[in-house]
Amino acid sequence: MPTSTRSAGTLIFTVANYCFLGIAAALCLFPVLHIVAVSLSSAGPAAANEVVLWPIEFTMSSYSVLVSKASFLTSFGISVERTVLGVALNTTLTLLMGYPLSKTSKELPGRNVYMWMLVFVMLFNAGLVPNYLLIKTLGLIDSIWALVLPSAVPIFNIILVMNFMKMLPREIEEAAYVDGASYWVSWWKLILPLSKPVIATIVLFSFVMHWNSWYDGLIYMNDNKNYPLQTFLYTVIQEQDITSIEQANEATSVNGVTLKAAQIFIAMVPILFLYPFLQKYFTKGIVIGAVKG
Amino acid sequence: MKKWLAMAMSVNLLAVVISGCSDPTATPSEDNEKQEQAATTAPAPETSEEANPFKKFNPPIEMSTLYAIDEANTFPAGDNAENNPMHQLFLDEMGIDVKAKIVTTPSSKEDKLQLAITSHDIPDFAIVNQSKLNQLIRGDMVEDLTEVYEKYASDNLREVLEQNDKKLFAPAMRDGKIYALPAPTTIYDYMPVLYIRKDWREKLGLPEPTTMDQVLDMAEKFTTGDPDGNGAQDTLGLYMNKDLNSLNYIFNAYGVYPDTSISLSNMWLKDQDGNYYNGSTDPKAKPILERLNRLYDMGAIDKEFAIKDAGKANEFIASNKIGIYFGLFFSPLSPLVDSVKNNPNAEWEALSVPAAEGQGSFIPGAPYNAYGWVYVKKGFEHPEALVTMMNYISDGYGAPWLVKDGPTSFQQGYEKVASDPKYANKGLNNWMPLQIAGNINWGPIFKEAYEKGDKEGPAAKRADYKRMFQEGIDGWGWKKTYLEAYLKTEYESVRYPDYSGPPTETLSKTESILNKEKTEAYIAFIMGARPLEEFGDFVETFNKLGGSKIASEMIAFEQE
Amino acid sequence: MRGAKLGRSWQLHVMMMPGILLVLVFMYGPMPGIVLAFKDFIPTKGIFGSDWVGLETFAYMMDLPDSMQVFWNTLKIAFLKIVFNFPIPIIVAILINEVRKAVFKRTVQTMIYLPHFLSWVILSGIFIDLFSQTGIVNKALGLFGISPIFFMGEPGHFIKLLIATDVWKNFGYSTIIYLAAITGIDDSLYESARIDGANRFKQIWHITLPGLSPIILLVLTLSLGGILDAGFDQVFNMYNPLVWSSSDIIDTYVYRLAIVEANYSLGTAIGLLKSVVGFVLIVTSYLIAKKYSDYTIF
Repeated sequence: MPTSTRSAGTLIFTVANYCFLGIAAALCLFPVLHIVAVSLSSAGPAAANEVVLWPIEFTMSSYSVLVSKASFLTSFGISVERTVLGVALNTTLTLLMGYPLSKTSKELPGRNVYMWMLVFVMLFNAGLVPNYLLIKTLGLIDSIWALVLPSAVPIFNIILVMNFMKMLPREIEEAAYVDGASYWVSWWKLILPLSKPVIATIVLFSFVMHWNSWYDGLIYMNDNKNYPLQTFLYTVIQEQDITSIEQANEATSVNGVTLKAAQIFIAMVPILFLYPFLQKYFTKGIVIGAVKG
Repeated sequence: MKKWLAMAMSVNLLAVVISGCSDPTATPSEDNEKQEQAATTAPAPETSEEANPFKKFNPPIEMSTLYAIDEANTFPAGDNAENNPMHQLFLDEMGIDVKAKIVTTPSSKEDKLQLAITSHDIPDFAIVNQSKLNQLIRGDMVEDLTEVYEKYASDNLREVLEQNDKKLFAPAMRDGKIYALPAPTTIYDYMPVLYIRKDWREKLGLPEPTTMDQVLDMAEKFTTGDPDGNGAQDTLGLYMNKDLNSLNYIFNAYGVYPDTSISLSNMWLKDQDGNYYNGSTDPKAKPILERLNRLYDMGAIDKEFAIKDAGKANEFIASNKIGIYFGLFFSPLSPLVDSVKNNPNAEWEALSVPAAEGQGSFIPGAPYNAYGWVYVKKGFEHPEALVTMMNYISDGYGAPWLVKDGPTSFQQGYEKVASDPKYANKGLNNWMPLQIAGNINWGPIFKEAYEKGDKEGPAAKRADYKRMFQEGIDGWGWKKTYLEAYLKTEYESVRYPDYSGPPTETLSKTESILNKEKTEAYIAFIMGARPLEEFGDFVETFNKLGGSKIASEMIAFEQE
Repeated sequence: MRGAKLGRSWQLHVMMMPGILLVLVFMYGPMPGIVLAFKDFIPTKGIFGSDWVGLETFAYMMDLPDSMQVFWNTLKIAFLKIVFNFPIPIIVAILINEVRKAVFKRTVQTMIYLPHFLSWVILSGIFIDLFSQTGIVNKALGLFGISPIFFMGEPGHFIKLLIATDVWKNFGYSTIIYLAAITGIDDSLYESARIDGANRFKQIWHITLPGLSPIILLVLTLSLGGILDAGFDQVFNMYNPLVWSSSDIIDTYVYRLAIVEANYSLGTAIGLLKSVVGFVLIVTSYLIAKKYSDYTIF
C-alpha cells in the first residue's frame, strides 16, 4: 500500500477537514443546546433571555409538566401512528414505482407518460380548497388517512430510487431473466438487497416528512384532539398578539418560554435517534464487482 | 373572555362609555317602548307566542359552531365540546343541542374559519372578525337577521347590544339590514393602562405623572438616572416594539389617532370640512414624533426596537430594563410578571393614561368592544335560535345589573357548575359556544369582595377570582390585574373611527400596503432615519397609494 | 428474447398501478380547481359556478403598487439561495466521505442535520440575539476593529443574513442525499484508482464527482423549479419594517394582503404563476441535458 508515502499535503487536508467539519457541527448544535438549556432553566431568567448554553436556576419542572400534559401526549401518539403508517406506505410505493421507472421505455411502454405525470404534480398543486373539498368528499376529515394518503406517493423519493436503480449494472438482472425469473423476483431478490443505501435515504426522508408536517393536520383535522404533534406545536409556538386575558395567562404561566422549549426538544428526540440508527447504511459502499463475479 | 361569569350581583355599574355626542341609552329604550306598545296594541296571538324571547325548542334543535379552547381551559378527562355541563345547560334551558363542527385553539381559529368560509362549509353559527364577516356577507352565506332580531330580542339583550348608539352593529349592516349580531364584551377590556416602575420613580424622587409630557420626561430620567442603582446606564425609559402597539396611546394623549396597533382596524376620521382622512396623516403627529425621536436618540428607547416583535421586546421587561409600559388591564399577567420573577422587589404601579398638557381628558382610540360578530348560516332553519341563546346569556349573565327578579334558572345552572370542584379552575364561559357581556368593570367588584374576604359569593365563583388566591408569583399577577389595573380602565369617553361602513373597494385592496407605508414612515421618523420635514411627503405618498381614493369612496358610501 | 420481455411488461405496469391510482385521486383529482386562478371565486357559487374573469386576477396583481419590486426581491433572494444551497452540501458530503474515523463521521452527520428541524419562529429569535449590534457576532467582529454592523436592519446585510442562515439551516439535511449516492459508487473504482497511484483529490475529481453527477443534475434541475420560492417562513419570521422594501417577497406580500381580506383567487393565481415558471425551467433544463449530453434526468 502506498499509504506511507502520503504527502504532507494529505495530512494538512485531513487536519483542516476535521477542523472545518467540527466547527460546522458545533454551529449547528448551538441552537439545540440553547433550547435544552432554556427548557431546564427557571421561568424568570428564561423570559429575560439570560440563558445561553447552560441552564440558569436548574429545574426539571417543564418536563414534569409535560409528562402530565394530555394534549401533548395525545398528539405525540398521533404523530407516531401517522409516521409508522405513512413511512410504510411511502416506502412500499416508492420501491414499487421506482423500479419500473428505472427501466427504458422499451421495457416499460408508456414509461415517459408515467414519469411526466409524476413530475407535473411535483410542481402543480390545485391548492388548499380543492384539496380540502376532496378530503371532505371522501369522508376523511378527522381521520388519520387524511394525513397519510394524500402524501402516499413521494415523487422526489421515487426519482431518487429510480436514479439509483438505473445506475445498477444491467448485467445483474440479465442472468436472472435468462433463467426465466419474473420482474417481481428480480426486484425482490436482486435489486432491493442492493438498494439499501437509497432505501435508508427514502425511509429517513419520509419519516422526516411525516414527523414534521403540520399544515395538513391543521386543515384536515376539525377536532384538535386529532392534531399531530407538529400541528399542536404550531398552535403553541406561533407568536400571537395578546389581546385577551386568556392569552396573557397562557403566554407566561400555561405555556411559558421554558415549557415551549421543552416541547420543541421532545418533539426532536425521535429525529435525533433516527439518523444515527440509519447511518450504517450510508457508510457501507456497495461492491458491485462481487455481484458481477 | 371570562370577565362575565354568571352572578347575581347588585352591580354598581359604572358609567357606560359614551362616544361623541350620542346618548347611548336613548335609542334602545325608545325602541323598547315602541315594541311594548306594538305588543299590547296588536296582540296577534300566534306571533306573540312565537315571539317568546326565552322559548325552549322542543324537540331540541341541533346547531353547529366552532369552539376555540385555549390550553388553560381544556376539558377535563371524560368531557369534550359536546359533552360537558355547559353544553348540557344549553340543551336543558333552551333546547339547543350545540354541535362542535370545529374544535381548535384560539391561535388557529382564524385559519380554520378562513378554510371553512372558502370551502363553503361553515358552522351554523360562529363569532367572526370584521374581515371574515365582510367575506360572509359579500358571498351571501349568512342569514339576514333583521327580522328575528326585532322580533325576538329581549330588552336586556337590546340594552347590551345597542350600546353607544348601536355603534357595534355598524360593521354587520348593509343597506339597513343586519347580517350578524355583535358579541360585545366589556369595553374596559380594551382600555389602556399605564404601568410605571414605582420603585424607580420614588428612587429618583419623581411625583406620579399627571400629564403625558411628564410621562415622557420620566422616560428620560429613567434612562439617565440609573434607577436600578447598578452604576451603569443600562435602563430604557420606554418600552417599544416593531408593531408600535404602545405608541398608539402616547399619540392619543395629544388627540392624535394614528392607530398603530395592528390588531385594530384603521382609524378613518372626519375633519371639520366633513372630509375623511387617516389618523396617521394628521400633522399634529409631527411634534410627537419629534419628541419620540429625541427619546430614541438619548437612549430611552431600545436602539433596535424596529426589529423586535412583542415577544422579543418583552425580554427587556423580564430583565428589568424597562421603566414605562403602556398595556391593558391584564398586562401584569404578561409580560410584567416576568419582571417580578427576576426581581421580587420590582414594584409596578398601574395608572390611568394621562392626557397631554392642555388636552383636557385622555380619550383613547377604541376598537369595537366585541369578541366579534355572530352570523347564522344561510338556510339554517331557526335563525331565531341565535337570538334565543343571546337572550338567555344576556339575562343576568352577560349583564347581571339588568336582572330584576333574582337569578334566572340559566344563571343558577351556571353557578351550580361553577361550584363543582371538578370545574373550579376552568373558565367555564370559554366552553359556551357564544359569549356576550355588557360593560362591567370587574375591578371594583372583585376588590370589594376580596377586601371582605368573600369566598362564597357570586364574585368568588369566578375562576379568575379564585386565581387571585394562588400562592406567590401567580397570585401576584391576578391580584395586580383585578385589584389594581382594572380600576384604572375608566375614561370619560372613547374615540371611535368616524367611518363605520363596510371596507371600500380601495381600502380592501390597499389597506395592507397603507399599513406598511405608515409603519415604515413612523419608525423612520422615530429613529431619525428620515427627517421630520418629510412628514408631508409621507402624507402625500399615503394619499397617493390609496388614501385619497378611500376617503372619497367613504363619502360616496355615506351619500348613497 | 425481445418478445419475451414485452410480454412481461405487464408486471411493471402492475407495480406502477397502486401509486398511480393514488396520484390520480389525490393529486389530479382536485386539479381542476386550479381554474380558480381565472375566476372571481365566491364560495357560495363554488369553484365551477364562479364567474370567469380571465387574466384579471393577474392584472390586479400587477396593478398593485410594489408588485414589481416584490417580484424582483423574490427572484433575487431565491436565486442567491440556489447558488449557495446547491454546491455547499456537495462539498460537505465529499469532505465527510473523506473522514476515516467512523465516530467522528457519524457525530458530524447527525449534528449538521439538526437545524433542519427547528422552525424559523424559534430560529429568528436566536438570530436576532446573535446578530444584534451588541450580540456575539458583532463582539467578535469588534475584536478585529470592525464597528458594529446592524445585520437585521440594513437591507444589504439582511439579504446576506437570509442567505447565510438558510444555507446553515439546510446544508446538513441536503448532504444526506449525496452521502447516500456516494455509497452507491462502486468501491472497485477507488480500488483500481489507488493502485494507479491516484491521490485523494484525483479520486474525488475522477470518481466521486462523476459518480455524483446524475444526482447533482437532478437536484439542480429540481431546485430551479423553486425559482419563485424565496422561503416564506424564513422571511416572514425574520424581516422587519426596516428591511421591508428590500426583502418583501411574493408570498409575504400576498399573506399581508390576505389578512385584510382573503382573496382566494389571487392566492391560486400566484401559486399557478410560480408553478408555470418552475415547470418551464425544469422542462428546459431537461431538454438541454438531453440534447447536449444525451442524458435523461427523469
